Amino acid sequence: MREVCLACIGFILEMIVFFAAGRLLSKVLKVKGNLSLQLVLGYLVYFAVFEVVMVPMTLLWVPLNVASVVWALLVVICLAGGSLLRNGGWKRHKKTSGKGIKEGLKQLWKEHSIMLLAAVAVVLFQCLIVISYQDTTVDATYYVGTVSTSVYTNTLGRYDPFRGGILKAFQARYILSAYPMNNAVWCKLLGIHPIVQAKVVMSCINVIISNLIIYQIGKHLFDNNRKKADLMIIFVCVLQLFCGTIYTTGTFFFTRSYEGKAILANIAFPAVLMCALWFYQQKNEKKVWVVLFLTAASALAFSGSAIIFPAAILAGMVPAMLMNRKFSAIPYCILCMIPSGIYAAVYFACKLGLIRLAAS
Amino acid sequence: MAGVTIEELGLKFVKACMKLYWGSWWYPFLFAVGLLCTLIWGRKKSSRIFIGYTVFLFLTVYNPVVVKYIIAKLDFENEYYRFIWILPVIPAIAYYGVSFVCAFKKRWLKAAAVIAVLGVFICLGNPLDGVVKNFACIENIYKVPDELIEICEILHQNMEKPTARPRVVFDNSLNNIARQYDPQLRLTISRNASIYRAGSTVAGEYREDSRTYKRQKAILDVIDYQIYDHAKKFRKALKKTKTKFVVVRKNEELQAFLLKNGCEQIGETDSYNIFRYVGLKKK
Repeated sequence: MREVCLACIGFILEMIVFFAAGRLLSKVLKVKGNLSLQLVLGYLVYFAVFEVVMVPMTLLWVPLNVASVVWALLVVICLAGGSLLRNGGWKRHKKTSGKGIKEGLKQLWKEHSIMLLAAVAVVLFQCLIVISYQDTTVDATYYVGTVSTSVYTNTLGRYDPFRGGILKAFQARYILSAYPMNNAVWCKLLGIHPIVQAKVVMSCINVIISNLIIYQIGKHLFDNNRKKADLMIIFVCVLQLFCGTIYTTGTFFFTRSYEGKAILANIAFPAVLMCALWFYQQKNEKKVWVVLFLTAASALAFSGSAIIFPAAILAGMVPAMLMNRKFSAIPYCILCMIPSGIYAAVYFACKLGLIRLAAS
Repeated sequence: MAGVTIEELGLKFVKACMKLYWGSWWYPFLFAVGLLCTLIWGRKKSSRIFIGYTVFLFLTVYNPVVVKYIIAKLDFENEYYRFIWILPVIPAIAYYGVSFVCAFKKRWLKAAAVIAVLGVFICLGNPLDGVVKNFACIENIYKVPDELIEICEILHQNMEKPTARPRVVFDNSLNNIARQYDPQLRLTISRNASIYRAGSTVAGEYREDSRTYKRQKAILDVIDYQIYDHAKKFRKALKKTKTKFVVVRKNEELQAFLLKNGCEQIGETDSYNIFRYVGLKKK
């Protein structure tokens, strides 16, 4: 029962943090967006910042409790900023339009109608699947094992998750992606069991964010028609359930949603499609490049496979550029590939023995 | 991807990977039909982005020539399927499905179209094993077998000190999940050694003559493969690896072998026997 309560608290708290981060980013970028876009942006910026903060700490052998305190401070600042903006925004909103929550809900129902309930039901159903699915893949030995081991040893990934001994050197293919350490930090802060945090709390959050990105894609494709975007969520869910080989995004979505790779497949790559559509429809919009850059940076936090992210960026943005005849965006496109470039440089330097990332 | 290499398949590698990835060609076929429809009727629509994605990817990372000469050099063969993730086939098919539904004006026709589209997706798709069929349901919130929790309790009761970090040998049914649940335990068998012993090099290769691998193999031979020919090697491996506990599935022959080779039984669950390794007593 304790774990269930902690999981619920963790879920609510982490969602609030993503929302606050999204709210802040929306304010900075002056993005007009609803709750769903803010959550998506918050998720991406959160992991981009987490990667930048946590990888150096990992390489410098900072203990987990210290890293957790540092991150908690950043989260509190973000929450304070987000809530201040929220209050300000809400008051302004009330003054100008005179609408209350009731009016807002009416508007929401008008835009979505019954499709909203159907889409929410589908997302809840997906969450139920990922919560109650018993995973047996050997990859969890690393992705969850490293969280358990880090929490137990109070270190950031310095112990071998497979056997439990201290590592001589960090493995470059794993350690440059900080996503598992996010779970370790939350476990340390809230006292949640690592398996529950990784396979229940974050899995549900990943499922929700992935659906919100599909919703955003739907909105772009259907000229802001929310009902159609809701229906698209339902169709994607069914397609994911029926594209069953061990390699597909659907398999990763439902059975391995706690893994960085699954997030890359179901959040980071679709986020590129979202940005490509955004850019295609608003070719002079600079914000899209900021969001794409954050996506590229956060992708590194999820998985080392983000080394192929430039291929995704080019696949989405080059056609959009050609269709828009907007070649002045090429430098931005290159800029968005820099995070993966840095990652690749460090990774291959480690592989060739030019750099050794000592762990003890 | 399992069983396919650029060296062996050359220019056919991409096709083989696509086939392995999709299982059946129906979803890629629906995607292709959708692209064709966009080319014919939707030239001014945002969905043209799907054509751009497809053309770009087939010219680059799905281009057999590029793959043969570049991907092969980057050592990304095993993970090649991740390039297939980039192509938004699923969102695109969903988009075409919604567009089809919205082509009808009357509400009841739309509802019928939704059912028809869902039916097509389900009939042409390949249900996820473990999710749609044979759902693998959890036993507890930790997503580990109840018996593992029971085993860990028995191990803790038998530890010299509460803070001790004993080395434990688990058979392959528990070895990869034990430390996720209880990181205090240290494992004798590495995940990668176990995978390599099973005949796969996906997680890495070992030098067969290395001391570390030889010890792990001697233990794996007994607990996972029930090969009892080298009892001395097994005992030596347990001793050298400082193994304290051995946890294996119930098997009378294996139980007898372990009892004969320096292990004493300290507990059991419904399906597992738990032993402490004490070594052979000198006569």
